Amino acid sequence: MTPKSASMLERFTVMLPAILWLIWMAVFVWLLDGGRYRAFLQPKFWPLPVVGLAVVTLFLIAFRLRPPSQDLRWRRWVAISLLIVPAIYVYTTYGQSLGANALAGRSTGSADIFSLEELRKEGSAPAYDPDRPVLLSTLAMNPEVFVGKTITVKGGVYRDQNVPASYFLMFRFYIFCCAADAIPVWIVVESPESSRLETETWVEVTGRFSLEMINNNKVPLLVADALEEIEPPPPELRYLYF
Amino acid sequence: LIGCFIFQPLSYFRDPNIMPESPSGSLHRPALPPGSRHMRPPAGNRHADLGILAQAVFVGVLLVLLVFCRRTPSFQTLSITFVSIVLEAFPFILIGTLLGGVIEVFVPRERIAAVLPAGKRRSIFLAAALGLIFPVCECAIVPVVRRLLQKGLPLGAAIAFLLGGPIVNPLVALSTVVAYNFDWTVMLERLFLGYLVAVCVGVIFERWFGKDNSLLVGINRSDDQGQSDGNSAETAATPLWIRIRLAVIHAADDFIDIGRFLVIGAFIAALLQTVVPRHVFAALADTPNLSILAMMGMAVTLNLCSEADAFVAAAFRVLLPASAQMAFMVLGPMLDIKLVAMTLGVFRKRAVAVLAGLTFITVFAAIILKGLLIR
Repeated sequence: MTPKSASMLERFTVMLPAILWLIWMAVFVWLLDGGRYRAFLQPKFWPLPVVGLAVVTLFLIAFRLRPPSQDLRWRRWVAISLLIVPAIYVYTTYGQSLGANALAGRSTGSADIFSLEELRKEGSAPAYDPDRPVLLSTLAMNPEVFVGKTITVKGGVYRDQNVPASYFLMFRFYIFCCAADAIPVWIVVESPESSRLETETWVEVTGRFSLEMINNNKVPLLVADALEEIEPPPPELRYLYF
Repeated sequence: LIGCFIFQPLSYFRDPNIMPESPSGSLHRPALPPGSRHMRPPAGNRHADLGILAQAVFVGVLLVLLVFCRRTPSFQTLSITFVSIVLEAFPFILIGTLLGGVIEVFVPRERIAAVLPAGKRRSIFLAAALGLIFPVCECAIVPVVRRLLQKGLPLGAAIAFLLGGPIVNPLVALSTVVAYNFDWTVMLERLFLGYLVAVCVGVIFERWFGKDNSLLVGINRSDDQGQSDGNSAETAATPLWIRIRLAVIHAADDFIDIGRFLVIGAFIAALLQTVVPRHVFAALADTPNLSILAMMGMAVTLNLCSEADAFVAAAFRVLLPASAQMAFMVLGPMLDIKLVAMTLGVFRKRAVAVLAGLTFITVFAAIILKGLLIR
C-alpha cells in the first residue's frame, strides 16, 4: 500500500462512525417518509423511528474525529460494517411482506384465529354492514356477529396439497408490535375457482360465513358467491394491527 | 452548530488534547474525564481477535445471503423478521446508550453509593424492582447496566436490575393486562415471578462471581489505576455543553460496541423463527412440564419485545396450560438470543453462560413451584 492510499484509508476509517450515523439518519427518514415503517412496525410505534432519527442526529452532531490506533482500525471496520448491514436489509426488504412461508411456520392451527377473540373489548362488537368489507381481524375477534351473514373479505391465498381442490386459506398477519411477533389470521374459503388461484395472490371474496367443525376443530368457513383477484396492497397496508 | 461539529477540518487530528485511541481503547485526553474510555478487549487478545474475525465472517455471510437468496420465500420471512427486530430494538438501545452516557458523565460514584442500601443483598432487592420507577425494556437495559457497573453498582444488584427491569415495570404490566383481557391476576403473577427470579439469580450470581471474573476487561473500573470516574474537580470544572457532548460521545461509542451484538442476535433469532415452526412447540402441549420447557425454548428463540410478548403468549391460551404461558412471559424479557449476544459486550463468556443457565433453571423452578403451591 502506498503512503498516499494508506493515508486515505486512515482518513476514511476515522470518518466511519459519521458515515454510520448518516446512513441510519437516511434510513429513519426514508422509513418515516410515507409511513414505510409500517411495513415492519405497528403504526402506533411511529415514535420509534423518530426517536432513532433524533438520537443518531445527536450522535452525528457530537461526532469528533478520533484516529483509531493501528490495532483498533480493523475492529472499527468490522463493528461498523455489522451496524450498516441492517440498513441494507431495510432497503432491500421493503416491498416484501410475510406470506405463505411465514403462515406455514407461524400457524398453530385453528387456535390462531380464535385466540384473537380474547382481545375483544366488552361492548364493542362491530355492526354488520353488508356493503363494507370485513377485516379478517374483526372477523377473528367477533366471529359470532357474522355467522350466517354474507360478508366481503380481502386477503392473501394459501394453497397446498393438504387443502382439497375446492378450498383455500385466505390469510393476513396481525401485528402487535412488529412483524417478528405477527400471528397469522385466516379463514377457509370454499370456491370452485380455488384450483386456479396461486398461493400469495390477493383476492376479495364475498360469501356466506359460518363456523364448521372439521376434524374436531372449529373452523371459520366462507362459502364464496363471488371471487375476484386483486392487486396486493402496498407493503405498509398489508398487515392488520392491534 | 452541525457544521461546527461535523465539518471541523481535520484540526481535531492536530488537537494535542485528542490523541489516537490506545490499543486498549483508552483515549488519552487530559481535558476530558478519564472515564471516557472505549470498552474494547485489549489488542493482542487472541480470543478477541477470533471474535472480531467471526463477526467479519458474519457480515460476509449476511451480504452473500442477501445477494443469492433474496428472492426465496423463507429468506424473505427471515429478512422481514430480522429487520423488524432491529428496527424495534435500535431506538431503545439508542435511548439506553444515551442514558448510559448521561450516567457516565453526570452521575458520580458517590451518588450511586448513597442511593443504594448499605448491604449488597438489600441492594439486590431494591434493584430488581427499579423498573417500576425506571422502566427500561430489555434492549435498552444492557447499556444502562454496563454504565452502572462501571459506576460501582454491585454485581448482584446489576444482575437483578438486568433481569427484573424489563418485567417489573408499568409498561409490561399494562400490556399483560390488555393481552389477558384485564385479568389482573396474570399481570400480578408475572411481575411477582419476574421479581422473584431476578432477586434469586442476583443473589446466587453475586455468590458465584465477582466483578473481576465476570466483567470484560475495561468494564470493571476497579482495575482503573489512577483513573477517576467523572466526578473529579477537573471534570466538575468542565463546561456543561462539553459534558453534554461527552455524554453523547460515550453513548455513540457504547452503541457501536453493543449494537453490533444486537444485530448478530437479531439475525440468529430471525433464522430460528423461520426454520423452527411454532406448531413444534404447540405439539408438546399435552405434557404440562414439557409444554413449560417448550414455551421457554420459544421465548429464547422468538426474541420478542417485553411489551409484545404477552400478546403472543395469549395466542397460546387455547393450546397450552397457563403455567407454560407464564413461563414464556417471565423468561422472554430475561433471556433471549439477542440479549445473550448483547451481554457479551459486558460480561465474560463464562459468566454469560452461567447467567443464561441460571436464569433458565430459576424460571423453570419458579413456575413449577408456583404450580405446586397453587395446587
